[in-house]
Amino acid sequence: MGTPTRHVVTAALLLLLAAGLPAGGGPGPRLEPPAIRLEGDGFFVLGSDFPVRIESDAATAAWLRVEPTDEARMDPRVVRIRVGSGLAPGLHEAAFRIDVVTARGREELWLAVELCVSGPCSAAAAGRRDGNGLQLDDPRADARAGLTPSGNLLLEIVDRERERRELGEVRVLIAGPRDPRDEPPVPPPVVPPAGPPTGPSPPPSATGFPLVLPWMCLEYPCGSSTSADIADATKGLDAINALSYERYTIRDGVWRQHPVGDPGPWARGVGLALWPMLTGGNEPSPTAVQNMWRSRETIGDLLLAEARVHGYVGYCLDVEGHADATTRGTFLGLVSYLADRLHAEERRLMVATATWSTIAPFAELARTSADYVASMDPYTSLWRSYIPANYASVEPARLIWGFTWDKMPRDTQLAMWEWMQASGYNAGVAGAAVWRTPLSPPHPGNDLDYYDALRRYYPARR
Amino acid sequence: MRLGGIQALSGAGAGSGVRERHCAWLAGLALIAWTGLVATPALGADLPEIRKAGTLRVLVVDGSPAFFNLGSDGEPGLDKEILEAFARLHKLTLRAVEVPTWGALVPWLLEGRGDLLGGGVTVTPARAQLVDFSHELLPTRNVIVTRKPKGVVETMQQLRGVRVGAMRGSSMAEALVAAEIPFDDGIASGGGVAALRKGTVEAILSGIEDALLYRQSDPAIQVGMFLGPSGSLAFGVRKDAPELKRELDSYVANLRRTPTWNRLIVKYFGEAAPELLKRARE
Repeated sequence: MGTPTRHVVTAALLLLLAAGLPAGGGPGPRLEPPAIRLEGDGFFVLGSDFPVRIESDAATAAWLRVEPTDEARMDPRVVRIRVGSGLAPGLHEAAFRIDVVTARGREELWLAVELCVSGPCSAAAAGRRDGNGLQLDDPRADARAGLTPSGNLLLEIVDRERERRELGEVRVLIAGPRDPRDEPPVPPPVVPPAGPPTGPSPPPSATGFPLVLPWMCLEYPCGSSTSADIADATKGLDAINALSYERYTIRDGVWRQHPVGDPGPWARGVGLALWPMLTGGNEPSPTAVQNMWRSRETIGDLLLAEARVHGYVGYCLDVEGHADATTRGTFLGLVSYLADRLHAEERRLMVATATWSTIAPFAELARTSADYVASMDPYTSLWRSYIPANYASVEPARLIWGFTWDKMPRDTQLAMWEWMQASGYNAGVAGAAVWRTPLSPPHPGNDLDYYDALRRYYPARR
Repeated sequence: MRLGGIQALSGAGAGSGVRERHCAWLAGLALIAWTGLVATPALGADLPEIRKAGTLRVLVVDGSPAFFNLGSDGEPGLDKEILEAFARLHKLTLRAVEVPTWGALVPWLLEGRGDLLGGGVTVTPARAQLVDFSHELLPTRNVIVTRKPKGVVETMQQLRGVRVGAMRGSSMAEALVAAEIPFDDGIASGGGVAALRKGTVEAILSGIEDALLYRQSDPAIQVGMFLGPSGSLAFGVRKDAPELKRELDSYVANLRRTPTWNRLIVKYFGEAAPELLKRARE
């Protein structure tokens, strides 16, 4: 979940034409969706089962520099994008190349970049569109471009054979995935295991999970509508007990309210606990983090004032980006400060993060005052590695599993849920969240009803 | 050290962050004498009056920087951080009032020279007769402390096999007597760790929170078995300040349920503190 303040996937075909790139003949760029939209320096997240290389001269414009890399590493990691200064206001377009070594030899993937320098193009950044169609010649290599919850590009080049093999192992383990609609809900276990789980979850109890919620992206930045998002949540009211939704940002230390509708009054009226989102950790620069730290008292005051007026249970701080040790320390200090302030008035703080987001590693978040850590790692194709690591890094009672339908194949999602349940990774956790409404189909990702899954695997405490 | 439930600290350990205790029996005598002399209700203020004044005055004895740092350098201390947040919640300014000795702590509160007691105050029966205590801030319990290369003492049998030291007249000495453990009662005030280093004794008895601080300053220090029942550290308030007590109770009880408390405990007493403090309760 989060706010795409910097990157928005756009229709790449239009960019191909607009960018004036070589369109054929020779090794010219094969511009593929999606594109990355920037308002300054940024990043994308790259993971690959195949050797990849980004060369220093891989970009088509002098103002664009992409961090060179020449290794194959499936662990999604941040690749920095730097843009030049002194550009004229308006939209600047370019592309850069990623070389992928597959069984077919060296293949090229081209990613388009739009840089909006303060000007009329700014308004266009408010749209979030999917980019499908990345394709490699080797049928074994599957290039998947998705979006992280904060709208950052997550590009994974997946070895289909590896994935098939691993899914097969999971299926053997769980004796075949089942559609959550097939069976009645299973209440959660309540006794957290002493160590890493090694078998099925403990016997269920009727108490339910304390936090089961959808994230709502609303009008900004997802182009959804508050009424449509509420209509969807209404369908799943029996499956959830809380709601988180785009509401505030503290980017650069400045408190702002997003220009979106407010589902809060509705949610309060139907008995959901309110956890508005607080963004600001989306690729913040060291200066931006320092500014947030310097403004912490004001931010803390405003968090509490808004919570008192609107009856918020807590806030969900959305974090994406990377940071050096100093900036990370400052950011984690901010997390503790804000949580401490909220605790003084019996409010709570949830932090949503992912392993690739080095600004707030799980183990370090576990040492802060944050009440809950929502893991977005199940969004990636390495969920089998990340989920156990998350579970070991954060006390289960503080852990919330985040799921998404975005670029999530149906079978993979079903296998993931079953595997987590069978392996005990739901034991003692605080609950689950799904990015983003609509959770019931139709949604762009697959045909699964995520409310059904919540009912089955994460029944909400009442 | 403790005698008759009175705890005394000196400033000697301030630099190292280790609480040093001495002359608790003197403090105890002073308190007993004072309680005999004072016949009228203490002057003081409950929360409405404190709000009116705008300042929350905490009575602190110097020498426990891990609990309340009276200096301007370093971390504020566990109690100070908590009380600053409590004061902010009530739109008050926190002001520390330094009390010269542990023996004067309760008397000063009863005289209205401060609004509450902080800085690592142990709930004792003697104190509890005179003042109220908030919800427990930190559990405490006596533990056997040894220093490498000597092994950790984990059983009574092992304890009987080592030379134990304690300060004469202290609550630790009382606990050892009660457990029928022979010990050297010639340990100087605040000299427990020094005695371990010198090898004069092989083990000492200490409050768990102090033992954790010893260990932070000396990695060779080892924390072993508990001896005696568990106790509590808390904020003390006058008995005629029920509203302040109620607000502190609520605040501390809530804090204890949050990760803020855990983070603070680790920050001031080390990584192992949450587990050891939990064990202190068992």
